[in-house]
Amino acid sequence: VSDAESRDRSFLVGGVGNLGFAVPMEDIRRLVNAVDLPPVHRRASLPRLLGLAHDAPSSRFAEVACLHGDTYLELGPDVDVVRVPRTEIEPLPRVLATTALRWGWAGLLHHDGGFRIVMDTTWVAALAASRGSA
Amino acid sequence: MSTTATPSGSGPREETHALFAFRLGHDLFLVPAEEVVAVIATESPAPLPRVPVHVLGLVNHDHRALAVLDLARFLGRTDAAVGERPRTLVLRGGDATVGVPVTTALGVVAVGASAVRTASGVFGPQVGEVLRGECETPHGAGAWLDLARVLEAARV
Repeated sequence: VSDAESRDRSFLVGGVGNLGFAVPMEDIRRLVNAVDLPPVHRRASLPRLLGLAHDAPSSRFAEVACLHGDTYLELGPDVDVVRVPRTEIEPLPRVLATTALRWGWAGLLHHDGGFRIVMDTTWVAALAASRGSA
Repeated sequence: MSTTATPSGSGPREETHALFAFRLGHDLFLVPAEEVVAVIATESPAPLPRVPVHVLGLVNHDHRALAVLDLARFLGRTDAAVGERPRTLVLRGGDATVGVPVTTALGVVAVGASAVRTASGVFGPQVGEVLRGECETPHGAGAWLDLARVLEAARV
């Protein structure tokens, strides 16, 4: 790994336009389509958490690398992977500090002409609700 | 705070304050001039979820995310729509920097200490809580805001 690569972080980014989300790739085990979800799993929706319009049937899902296993984040249909220099990940403005803490917002990225909120994956995964029946 | 002592005729030197004047709707507000970092064109902020209505969203400023506040709404003065505010003040108070769209950015005025009065209540109770005083200026009577207190109260 070169020095330049070690100074970068990769993120899954979602959302269209001036607001969306970013999830650190190191927190993600794999990406799947809705049809590939296990019959029983836990799920949280990032578009819904952020009030973003999304086409649920064509959503993609990220399996979270967490202790629970079978925990997925709904990403919406528009997902990209970006590599970002660590220096370009900025904190939320101080005036938003309490909201950021309350809703698992860990930072901000600039992407595609808009802002992407870096989510605290552990925090979001804790919200995941069970789907399907054992 | 930027203050200077200026001669007033042959009498004692009067302390003056350098304040930046701006309007929100018809109301005139003042903040210390050194707390105005920049005056920029107003652009539509990226709206944020989960925040109160006085947080309009984020814009890019100087390669950083700047939170934009609807100060008129926060202070209970809602007689001007945000769309009527062509300039945004970048304000720094305490450890926070925010953008505030204003109806008119009037610039710096020198206000003598004798022109500062205690609050009369004319600007309403919410302004009264963050008021340093009311001032007579060339633009009319204005409310001199304690910006650090405003931004502390506006935290979400």
